[in-house]
Amino acid sequence: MVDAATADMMRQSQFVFQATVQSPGRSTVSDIPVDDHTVVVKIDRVLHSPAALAHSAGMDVTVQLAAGSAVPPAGEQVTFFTRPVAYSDGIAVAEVGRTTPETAGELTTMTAGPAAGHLRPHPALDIAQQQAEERLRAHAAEADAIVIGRVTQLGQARGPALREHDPDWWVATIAVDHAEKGTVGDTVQFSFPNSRDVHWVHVPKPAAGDTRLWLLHAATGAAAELAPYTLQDADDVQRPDELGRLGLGGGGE
Amino acid sequence: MLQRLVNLIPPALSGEANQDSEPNIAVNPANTNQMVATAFTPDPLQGPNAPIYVSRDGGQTWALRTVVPGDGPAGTGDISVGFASGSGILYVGILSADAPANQTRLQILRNTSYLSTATMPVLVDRLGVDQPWVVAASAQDQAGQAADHVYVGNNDLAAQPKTATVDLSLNAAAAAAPAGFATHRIEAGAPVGQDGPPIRIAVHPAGTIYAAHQRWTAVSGNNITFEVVVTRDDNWATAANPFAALTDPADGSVGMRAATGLTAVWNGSMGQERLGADSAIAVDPTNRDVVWIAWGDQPGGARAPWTIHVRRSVDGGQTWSGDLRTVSKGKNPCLAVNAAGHLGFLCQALIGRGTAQRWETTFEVTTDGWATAAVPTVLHTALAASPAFTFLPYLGDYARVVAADNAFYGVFSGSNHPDRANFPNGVTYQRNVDWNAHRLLDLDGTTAVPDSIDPFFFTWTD
Repeated sequence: MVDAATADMMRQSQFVFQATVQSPGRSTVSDIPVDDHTVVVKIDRVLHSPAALAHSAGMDVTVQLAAGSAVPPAGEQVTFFTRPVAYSDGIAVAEVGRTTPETAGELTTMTAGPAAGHLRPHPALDIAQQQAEERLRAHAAEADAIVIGRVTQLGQARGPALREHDPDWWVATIAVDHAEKGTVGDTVQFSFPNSRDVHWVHVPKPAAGDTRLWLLHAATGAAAELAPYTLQDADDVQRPDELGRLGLGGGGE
Repeated sequence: MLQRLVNLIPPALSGEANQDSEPNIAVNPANTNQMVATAFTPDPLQGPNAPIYVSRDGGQTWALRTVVPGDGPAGTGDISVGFASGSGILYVGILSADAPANQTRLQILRNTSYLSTATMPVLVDRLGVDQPWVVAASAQDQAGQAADHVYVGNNDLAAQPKTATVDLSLNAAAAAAPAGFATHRIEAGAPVGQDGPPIRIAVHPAGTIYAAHQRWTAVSGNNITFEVVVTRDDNWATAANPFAALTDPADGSVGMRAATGLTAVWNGSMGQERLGADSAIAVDPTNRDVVWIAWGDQPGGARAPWTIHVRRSVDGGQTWSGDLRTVSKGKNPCLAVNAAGHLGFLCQALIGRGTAQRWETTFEVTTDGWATAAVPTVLHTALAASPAFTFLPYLGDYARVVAADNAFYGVFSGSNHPDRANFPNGVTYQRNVDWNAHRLLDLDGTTAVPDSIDPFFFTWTD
């Protein structure tokens, strides 16, 4: 069971890793001020990271310890919860928090002891997964309609404005197989920005025949003239079998 | 000659495969070892801030600082940078990734130290703006004190149809937001719908400021007819109505038309890149009356290749030469004039046919306005079809070259496929790479990383 403090650290962190302290008072990253709360650590295991740093085990990383925190001695294994500071020949991160030495010791036992072949996920991984689920559920709660259905028609809503960041609105028509939320009929229409411009790259682009779980939002402003709903977020399109992850408790039409 | 060409991705980001397109650069004139570059680069750790690239050794090595507020899937939106020449303060113009739905959000930022790891404070925050272009300088104010003069060209779509705009401050260094910034419309004509996206600025150290914009004069579907208009201010743009020094004798309006009757197809495509607007302007630091412009169009209409043109004025923008240089299927022209009065010209061009098409990036210097031919130096060449684009722009709606003393400093984006034949004049990669196997390698030195678009820095001296 993860305590609330650890969960809170996880929410504030982008890079979580187990590491062994190498050298207090030193940095592997030029230009970063070094003081008695700067330490170099070697990453033993990446626990939570975007893809670009997924293979960073074995790297030395500079950690700016939280102000007023205890400086761990060389050789101590610590789980650091961090946010980014700088990237160059090395990585510098700022400490959001760390697990207690007791917890670190427990984890060492868990990952290196007799149970090594039967590892439980590190608590940080549990939290990351839990937070991803929480974000998706919150997103679903904000949606005005949630349906499973197939794209039967696509059309450009209007000629795009002559602007680099114009959304190029299109309208998709969905044949609804299942309505989980909202009042919809056998079909529902939504607008989406079909532009490949960098400003809109994060919004999914439906294709004819796609059968998906659609999280739709009531259209406002100019978009409301095109269709009652709109797509606006990368999480608005899910696989149909992801319905249970939305935490809506079933009860759809 | 070419001094160095460096891939900006630092070793610690060897695992990244983003489309790091649309680069920009600033070099501190007071210390040319200090540089800042930008691109559509997200924070590798997906934190709240987007990064800038910084170098403190003249571009030999680069690091990232996550200091730009607002980080999206491609980092911040459009971004450009400038160092004030006296103070060394860094100014940044962005389209924030943290914007309301369906809106663009201009922010102008400031950092007293380019190496700072603190989030940059916001000086200006406004919706509905496109393509901020930052140029900074330092000069004495009316009280004789050194002051940072900062000019941010932008296309303010809230001001349709006269959208060509410059936000400027004559003392931006220390004051709290908005730090003296005010908005000035520089379009005095009658554009149809709007002006084109790029509003570019060139500053002469004695206080002559030029701005170039593209006035749309007819729009039919995606077909645009436009003019290249140059405006000028002779005293740092200190007047209430700045940029009014040039008048077109043909119609009596402010702004001289350097080229008219130009045609282009908006959002056309070339080598996975989109087309629509290219623009550059540079002033000779040895002679305030010598100013150069470049733009892209399709001469003769929609079926014509996108073509880059370069022209010059020797009388402060009042009259203009014909084309002194053209590049067929060119893109992202960049101009800068060094302390010797020599013009540097960067261009990216699509060459070849079919699957053999390549994006080729060249740089050349002319000492006499191409009266004698200048030999372009190929900095980079790579297949145009690889890697596949993930968004537009593929290489960028712009690149940039600046000059300090006798040197030129530039950035462009291109495929990072590690083949030495793609860099006929050499290159340095900071990220892990196996040149023999033509593979990029992850942080562990063994896992392959797919090719992507990276920003490249070069420096050139006479």
